[in-house]
Amino acid sequence: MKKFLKFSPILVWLMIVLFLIFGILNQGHKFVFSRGTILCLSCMGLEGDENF
Amino acid sequence: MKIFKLRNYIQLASTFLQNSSFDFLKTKGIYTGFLKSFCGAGLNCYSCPMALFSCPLGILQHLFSSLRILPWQPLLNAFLYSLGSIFLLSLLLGRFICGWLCPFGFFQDLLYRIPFWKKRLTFLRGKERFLKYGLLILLVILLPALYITEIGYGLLWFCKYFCPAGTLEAGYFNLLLQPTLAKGIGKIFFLKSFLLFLIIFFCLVDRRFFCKNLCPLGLIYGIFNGVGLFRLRWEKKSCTLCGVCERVCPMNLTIPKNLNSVECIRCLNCLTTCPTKSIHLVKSFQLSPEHDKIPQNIRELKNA
Repeated sequence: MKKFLKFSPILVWLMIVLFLIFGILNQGHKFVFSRGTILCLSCMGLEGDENF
Repeated sequence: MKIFKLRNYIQLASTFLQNSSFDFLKTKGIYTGFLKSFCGAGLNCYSCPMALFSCPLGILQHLFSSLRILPWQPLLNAFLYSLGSIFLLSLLLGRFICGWLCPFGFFQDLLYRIPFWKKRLTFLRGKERFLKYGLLILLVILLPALYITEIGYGLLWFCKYFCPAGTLEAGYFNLLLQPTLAKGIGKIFFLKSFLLFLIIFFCLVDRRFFCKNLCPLGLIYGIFNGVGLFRLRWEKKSCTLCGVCERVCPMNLTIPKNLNSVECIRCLNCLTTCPTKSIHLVKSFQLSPEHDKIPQNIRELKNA
């Protein structure tokens, strides 16, 4: 258990780097791009239809 | 150069860098280029016409609100990329982002410089810090994931009903650029404007009021303070227990107990002002396990 706790930060680092690599390889950034380029009425506090 | 002066310059540079699109002068709309594929550092609304990057908190809400509408494979890829990029930045910098890079944090620092009635605000017997936990769990994760509209898509609850950065940077700015948007003004806009002015008032009175009590993004970054690249180390031998570090801390933390806690925004005020240089910034792997076993604060040590 102590050994596991000692290495847990390295595991966290490894897992997150793998997340990012798999995300990029599988075009996950397209989701962020598609959401980030829409004028978000919610963010502005305005009411109306938003088409994602 | 003193660290707090350097910090101000870096905050200014970061705010400018994250908001340096001038496309709106031609298009009157927001920036839609390649950089929007990346999440920015700190709270900076992506619907601000000058914003270059996407807002990490907005993207998280989009992820949870898309749970029922996206097929599992693109959803998984989006999750991996978004969480990977947000968490990697958190691991690299932790809450250095709040102290040094966040545009809304810089805005709060500027507000606090305005001469006004100053007081440490506590309204829930010191438990107000936990409000940000509720906001993260409820408005960023649970409600976007569980409540869906008739088209099957969830709402961005934090953005829609709370985010002061969105009202300030996106709301008023876009209304100025595109007056036709004014037809969407309703109760929610007035609620968000009221909240924004309330938060501005509290930030005039108390340092970093929003970061301390209400920012869910700061909480996410803070979780990684413990496993990130850099940490603060306290030297018991040289400390004279003068308490200067606690007085200059914008987050009102007890030191040394909370040096590496979720709350520390790594402004390094304590490190700069310590007369005996008993606080150091070190790489995580340079710390021995004993340094994490410091239960006391300065006052308790003095009384011992």
